[in-house]
Amino acid sequence: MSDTPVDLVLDLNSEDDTGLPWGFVDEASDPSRIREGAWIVVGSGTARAVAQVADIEGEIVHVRPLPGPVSRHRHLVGHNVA
Amino acid sequence: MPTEPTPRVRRAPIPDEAVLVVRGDELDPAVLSADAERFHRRFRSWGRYGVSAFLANDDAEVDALCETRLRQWAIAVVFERSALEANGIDVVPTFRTPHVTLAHAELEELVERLTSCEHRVVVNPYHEADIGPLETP
Repeated sequence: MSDTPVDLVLDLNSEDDTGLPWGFVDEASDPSRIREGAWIVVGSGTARAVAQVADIEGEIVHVRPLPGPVSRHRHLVGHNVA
Repeated sequence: MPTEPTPRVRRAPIPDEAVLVVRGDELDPAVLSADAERFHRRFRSWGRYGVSAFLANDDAEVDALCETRLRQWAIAVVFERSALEANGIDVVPTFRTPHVTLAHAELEELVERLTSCEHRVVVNPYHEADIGPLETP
């Protein structure tokens, strides 16, 4: 397990018809932070990534993860570029 | 709660040459269980639990997956597709190639069969470890 806390638990292996990893809004540590365009930390197990919320369809959140470690992109987290 | 009936299964069967199945991360039963439950919650009508993985024809394709889809993991696990199927796990071609869903009707069975299935662990040479909160671009 990674020690880095996540804003949204999701499996970075996952995808659906969008081709993007997905999770459920209610698995977010703070669902109010899950907004389209928001930069958040996602992952499960040992994997973590900074990702942008691509869209929210009902309870489903799709994200676009950035390659590379969280530390490289942490300055983006908390910002919203819708 | 809105759910989708089933995941989209590709019409084309898995090619015979796609003999390997790769998934990022170690085989942690707690993580596999949580991921499979999430999948089942979304696709409840399908009646199966599932976790995501990717097909590969050979080690060169495993390496290519490590450089792209699996870059966030320090390690990945590689199964022989035939070993998974012999262990009673369905390898279902879902969504976009090379994605597959490793599926079973029972959650505990899926996790047990995955963790007990013969596999090898590969170190991902493209993974960049998180060095802490101070790195700047």
